[in-house]
Amino acid sequence: MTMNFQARRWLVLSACLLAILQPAPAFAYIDPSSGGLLFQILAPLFAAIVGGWVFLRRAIARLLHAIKERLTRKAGR
Amino acid sequence: MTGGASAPSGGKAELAGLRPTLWQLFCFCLAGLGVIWLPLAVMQQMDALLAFVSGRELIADAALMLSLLIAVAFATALVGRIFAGLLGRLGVGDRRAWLLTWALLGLPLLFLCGGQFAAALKLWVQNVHGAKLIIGDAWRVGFLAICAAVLLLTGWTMGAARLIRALADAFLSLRVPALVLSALALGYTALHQPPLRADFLSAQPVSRPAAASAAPDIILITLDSLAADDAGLCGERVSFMPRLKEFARGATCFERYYSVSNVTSPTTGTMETATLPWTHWVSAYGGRIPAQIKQATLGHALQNAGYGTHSIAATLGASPLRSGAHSGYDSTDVADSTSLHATLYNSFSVFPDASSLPSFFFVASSVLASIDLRRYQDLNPFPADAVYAGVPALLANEPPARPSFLWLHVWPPHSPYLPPASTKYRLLPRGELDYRRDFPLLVNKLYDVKQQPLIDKYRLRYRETVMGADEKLGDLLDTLQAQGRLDRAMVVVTADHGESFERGMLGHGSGALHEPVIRIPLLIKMPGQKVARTIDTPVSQLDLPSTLLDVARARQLPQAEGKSLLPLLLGRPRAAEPVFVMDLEGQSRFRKIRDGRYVVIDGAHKLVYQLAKDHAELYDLTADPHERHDLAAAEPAVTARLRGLIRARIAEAEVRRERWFNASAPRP
Repeated sequence: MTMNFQARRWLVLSACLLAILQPAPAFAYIDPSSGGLLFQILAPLFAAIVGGWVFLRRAIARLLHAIKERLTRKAGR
Repeated sequence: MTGGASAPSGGKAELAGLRPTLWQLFCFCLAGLGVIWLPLAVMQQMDALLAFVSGRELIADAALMLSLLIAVAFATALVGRIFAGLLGRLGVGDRRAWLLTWALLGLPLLFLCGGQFAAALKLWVQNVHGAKLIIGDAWRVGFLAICAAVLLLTGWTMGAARLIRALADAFLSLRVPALVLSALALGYTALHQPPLRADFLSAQPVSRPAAASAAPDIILITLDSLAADDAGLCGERVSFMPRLKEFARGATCFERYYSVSNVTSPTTGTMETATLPWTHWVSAYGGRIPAQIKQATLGHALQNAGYGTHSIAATLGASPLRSGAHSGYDSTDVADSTSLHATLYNSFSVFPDASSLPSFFFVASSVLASIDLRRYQDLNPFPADAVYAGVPALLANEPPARPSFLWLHVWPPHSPYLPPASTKYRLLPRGELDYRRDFPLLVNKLYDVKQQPLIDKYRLRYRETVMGADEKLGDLLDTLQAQGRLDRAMVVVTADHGESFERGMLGHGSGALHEPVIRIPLLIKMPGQKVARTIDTPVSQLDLPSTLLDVARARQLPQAEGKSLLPLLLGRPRAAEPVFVMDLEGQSRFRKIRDGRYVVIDGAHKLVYQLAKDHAELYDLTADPHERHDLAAAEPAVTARLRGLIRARIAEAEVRRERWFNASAPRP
């Protein structure tokens, strides 16, 4: 176990907070909340772009860098 | 990333490069708010909002929101930096101070983004698979407990420092897109500056033409969700509003007065424009009065007739700030609320034209609503006092020679049915439905017929709330009487729509258009009136603005579809007109009217019509006031005539909708 007492206490506190602050039905008149065609198309696209950026950003950068290096080397020969 | 002041070692190594500088914290917050939370929030509501706002308006609102979030991110980062500094001064070690600072900012951000993501995921699954995902409270608590346990276990096994590091890295990796988007949003907002609320900037008195001699003060009071039968104001029936009943002894009571819709915004849109919802298209979710008639509203007409015009609403949803009619008012106040959720919502009234902003906060504000739920278990978040308190001073400050128009919209008896202590337990004893947590069924939803006994108890608490609303209104009328204003004023007491506790429908949403939802009280006391009168001709909310303008001797609105009730008030005959009521939920001002539920009331007959199914139900309200016997098959001639009338009016509305909205409309 790598956690000290303070960190554990903090995590327990945050977990309790999460459970206490469960979303409740809000008052009416602000929630169209219908989803719809645009939402069905855009939401996965958005998730893919953000997920790709966060998790594959470095891999993509490495790949592009490798391609660039290979091309530069070829041109140098 | 810059490293810490000292060389990282041990636990601090896990946070190396994450010294919480102001810039790091700012980028962290901006990435979470601007790249994850806001796009998810906008996407989730986009389809519904685009039914009432154009694509350009939605982009402008999103850009404004992101510009505001830049300020929020900076303020939050500043708080984080100060917090880190304080911890340093208190002698807390670097590692712990860094950890706590990132946690202070990271956990709420994670909660906000995670909550929005979970809501979007649920909605997406519902949309794509057509499954309705309803989880009860117990399951919701269980689900959140699992989330909390996963977080706890992850922290336990990974170590808090590594967990925080992973969280901060993930958000900070989005800082480039966050900064680019923010720059674009700032640029767009600077080029298309949203107007601020006029009375927010200055309270300068506006010059007016002189009013007609003897033009009376007009005080319009709308009580949200007050059904006619529960008010019981006309005739000798049982009333739950004894003080208003007393007031009715010197007023005219309309026995069959109908709202134009079953939710607030379309009804306020009608009272502002004297047009039906299929003309003005003001919806609950951000619809604004169309540009063609935006300067021809009740407020504008009264201003042009020399009136000082003021509105005090319990919530933004019922305010002219929401419908876009605010420029017709000298002041537009939204009353203070004890609710955190409502306070956040109301704060957006600073930008009255950015009507989508509150909708972006639906998921986030549900957390505030849950805090409200726990803080104020038996306290109505929108007490009538909050609206009435400012009235005497407001009227006293008006120039003496200028008549005033004052529109007060109060929340009770709208749900939550939390009567004040003075009327609570008068009808339903203590022990049931005492607190908000005791109301297991959601309002504005359908219920199973087996739950009728419980719903009957809901109704008793509702009626106690009606009694509480009556007490407060009675106090206001007494104050006005003491000021000597009441006798010479025109006073109108009515509702926006009614409330149902029958036929499987609780509240007023969900498309229900039966009598308790649409038949509402209307009490009009003319200046100097001392005698009670009752009128049983069916009349519409649509007629109210024309009536007020008639009494004020102001010019009628050019687009008015209603007719003044003044002849009836003066005891003269008025030709009976069919009354229309509609629920346009799911319809768009930018697309052809394909569905919707409509009612036409013609004498004793009431036809309920659903356009998409071409389905009609016919009731005889004299013989069958509770609408239990559908006569559509038994009386085909009446059914065909009324259905033809509705279809003809829908066709007219469709032509107007095409002309007014299609030029700037996004294509379906």
